Amino acid sequence: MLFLSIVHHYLFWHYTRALAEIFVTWKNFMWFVGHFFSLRQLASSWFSPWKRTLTGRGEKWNLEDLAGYVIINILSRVVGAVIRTIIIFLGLVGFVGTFLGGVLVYVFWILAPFVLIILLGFGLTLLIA
Amino acid sequence: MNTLREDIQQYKPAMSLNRLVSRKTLHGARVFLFIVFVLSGGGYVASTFVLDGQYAQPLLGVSLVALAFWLEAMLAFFYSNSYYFRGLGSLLGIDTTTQAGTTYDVAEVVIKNEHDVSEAFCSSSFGSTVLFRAGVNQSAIEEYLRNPRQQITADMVTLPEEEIFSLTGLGKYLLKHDRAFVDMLAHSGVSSETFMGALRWVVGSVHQEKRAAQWWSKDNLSRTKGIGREWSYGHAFLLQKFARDIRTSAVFSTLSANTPFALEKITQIEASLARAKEANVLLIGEAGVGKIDLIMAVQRRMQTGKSLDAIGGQQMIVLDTNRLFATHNDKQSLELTLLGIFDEAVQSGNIIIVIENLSVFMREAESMGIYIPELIDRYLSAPNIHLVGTDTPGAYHTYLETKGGFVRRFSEILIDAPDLSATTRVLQNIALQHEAKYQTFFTYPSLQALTVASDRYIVEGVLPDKAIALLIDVASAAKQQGLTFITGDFVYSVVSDKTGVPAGPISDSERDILLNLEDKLHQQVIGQEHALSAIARTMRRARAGIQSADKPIGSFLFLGPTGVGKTETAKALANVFFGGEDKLERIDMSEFSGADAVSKLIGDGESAGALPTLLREHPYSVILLDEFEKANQSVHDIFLQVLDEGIFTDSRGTKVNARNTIIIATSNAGSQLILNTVQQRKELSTLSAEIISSIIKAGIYRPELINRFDSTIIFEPLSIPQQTEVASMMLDGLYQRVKERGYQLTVGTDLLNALVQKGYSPEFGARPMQRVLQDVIEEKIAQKIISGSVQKGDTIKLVLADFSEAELAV
Repeated sequence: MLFLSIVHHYLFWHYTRALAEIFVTWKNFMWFVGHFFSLRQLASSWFSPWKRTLTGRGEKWNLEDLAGYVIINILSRVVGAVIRTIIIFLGLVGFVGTFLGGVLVYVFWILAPFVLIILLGFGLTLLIA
Repeated sequence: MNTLREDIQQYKPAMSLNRLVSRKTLHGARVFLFIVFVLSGGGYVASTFVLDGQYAQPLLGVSLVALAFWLEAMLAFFYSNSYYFRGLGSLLGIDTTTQAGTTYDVAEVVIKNEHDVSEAFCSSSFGSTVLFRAGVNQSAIEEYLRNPRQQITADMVTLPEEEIFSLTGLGKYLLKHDRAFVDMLAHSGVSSETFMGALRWVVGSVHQEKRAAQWWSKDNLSRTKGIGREWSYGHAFLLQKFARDIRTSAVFSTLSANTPFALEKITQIEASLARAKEANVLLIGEAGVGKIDLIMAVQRRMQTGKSLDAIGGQQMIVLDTNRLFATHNDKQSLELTLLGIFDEAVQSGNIIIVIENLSVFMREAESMGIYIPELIDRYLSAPNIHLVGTDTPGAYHTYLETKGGFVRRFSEILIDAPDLSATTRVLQNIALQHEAKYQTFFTYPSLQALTVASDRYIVEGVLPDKAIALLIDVASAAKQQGLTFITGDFVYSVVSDKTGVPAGPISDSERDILLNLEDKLHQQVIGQEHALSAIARTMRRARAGIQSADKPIGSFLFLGPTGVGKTETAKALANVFFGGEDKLERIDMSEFSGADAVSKLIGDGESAGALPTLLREHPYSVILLDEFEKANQSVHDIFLQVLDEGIFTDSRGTKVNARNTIIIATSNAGSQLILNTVQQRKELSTLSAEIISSIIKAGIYRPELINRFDSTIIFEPLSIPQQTEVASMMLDGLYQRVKERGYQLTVGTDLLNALVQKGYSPEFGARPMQRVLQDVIEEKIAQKIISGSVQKGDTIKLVLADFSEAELAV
């Protein structure tokens, strides 16, 4: 009797409150991906020099200094942009993955009680047969 | 409105499940089933491809069944979690949405007996922990439950509509509605405040455990540091070389960062660091108040994206000044390194340099010829660099303030020592950490006692630092004595042992001393009934705790002619209160009459003064200020503060504590008036106001100074019978000394009376008596010993007839 009462309460929870709670957790994970991959910060500094690696231009005009400055500056920004692009890309993949993962979780969650019964039934059939 | 009974119904199925299979077992089952699933699944694959499918079918069957049960365990776990953590975010202030209803913890308690909520509370593991922490013993709880009382059912408890009804709410409800419960607490000596303190402590630790367990909450996920945030900033190689781990200086717990006080200071620090320029902060607070802890909290908020946007992504680096000075032995190389460090920090753009004890760093640099304000001034106004310095108020006032413009580059934030209740909250966490280590159990009253006792009796350090140190001492003492249950009384006994000051509950022997204090003092002091009675009354008030704790234990102004027992009374007080005459510390105030009196007394920046030195070396003693009237007026002014607050600031800006001393100022002022009063056979006690008023009129003491003393005591000149008693006491000492030389001594009454007449002087008290005894009796004994007229073991009998007129006339 107790078991039936728990199952009844559980199933009600499974298809009502649990769906809302999964949504909250899903939102948390989506936020976490953005936070972990620092998407906002990296996007706003996408083309900034890599770790501020720059050379000085020198006090007097000098073509060699200027060329060095321009090349290092460009190189530094390119390196920065490449690495940031990789992380932003990974972040976006994580973002999409988490989003799709959330959808899958919802689908699986709705089916879970049936999946459980099927797995148990199939497994026991295989053991008995 | 929902009742408690209605609301807890929702938890019953989840609780039934947890009773069938506990959360711990559920976790173990999940792990076990997953392993079975993986192994049997692996076995199925191996069997299919290696063993021609010989055991494939049963292995697949086991694997699928294990998977099914694992899935069930997972679903059950989610189900359990859903109820277990309900309302936690709201209670911790993390969720902004308002929730109502009760929590799983309350339901878990009440469900044990819905018809008797008090019984359910007392018999639950949570409730009994709270009651033990509060200091209620098991027999009191059992008696309370056994006795007839009005029962509170879950139906009677109405839940609030706009807040969660937590365990704290349940405790408050019981206090408000269960009279017998409050009586039980009162009979156990536990106040409602203590019970609520214990309740909040236990609830707080339950919430912290739950908070840590809920790893998927936004709060916990946000603790992870994001990657790549510092990529748009530069390197600071040189600074890293001289960096130190910030955690090596912290004393607070993470919990204390959530207090309103800490949050206010964190907001101030962040706002100052977020300024467009001159974004430097100077944290001023005594050592141990938690300055670095606040900096750590700001750093944590910056790392987890909770700080102001303007300082997000910044990193704090603590400059290891010791290593800096140890690795540089000349001015030029140190200057270059410092400039390099600051240049790097500017280049990086996200560095906040933290320098602990800024004035010490600057002084050390100064000793190498480097003037820091000049060297780093241009950096302090730059937008890309922040400097956070810490210092004590004393050092700030005496050193940094004199640097004028340099200090104006900083936003000054004053960090006060936490108040007593905040200190007790800090101790809650520390106590839990040390309970396992020392195998002890701290009650809440013991934490209250630790807070009060460290504030009142521990002179060195500030709260919460000294309270934490005392907690460790107490835990260690308890372990040595095989004690597991630490009570408030035990804390006070450790404090008494440590300081020598009677603290906490009054023991039977001490009660006897206090009630008969006049008699105890009379064993050393002859006469002076009025004086000793006034002293005894004041000391009883002090020990009973009625007197303010923010003053010395007692303070007296002893007025009277010389030799009437003023110093002897001070000695007797030291003996009775601190266990020995060696606890009497004397300052000759006539030495503080010149122009340099103040600097001699409290120091002059270079050398420590006489009073701070004495109080630091003897914080628990009787301080005798001899010939107080001879001290300079400005010295009297310093004592206005000492007597009023029990604390003063020395020349170095350090606070000096005099609250564990008895301060006695002796003075001959008004002696003539006192003598005249006695000669006119007037009642001295009725004329004391007149005497004090004449002293004030004469400008010897100002009225505000006299009023600061707990009591002004007038010592009367000795009468002839009293002088005889004094002489007898002096002779007792002489008998002992003669006995130690191997002789016995008896002095006839006729001789004693003659000597008393000779030595009696209302003006000079007992002092001439001592001289007479020395010149007459001691001289005679010396003659007898040297002439050989007495042998070892003989009794020297002295009567009046043994002395010639000339011998008596010395």
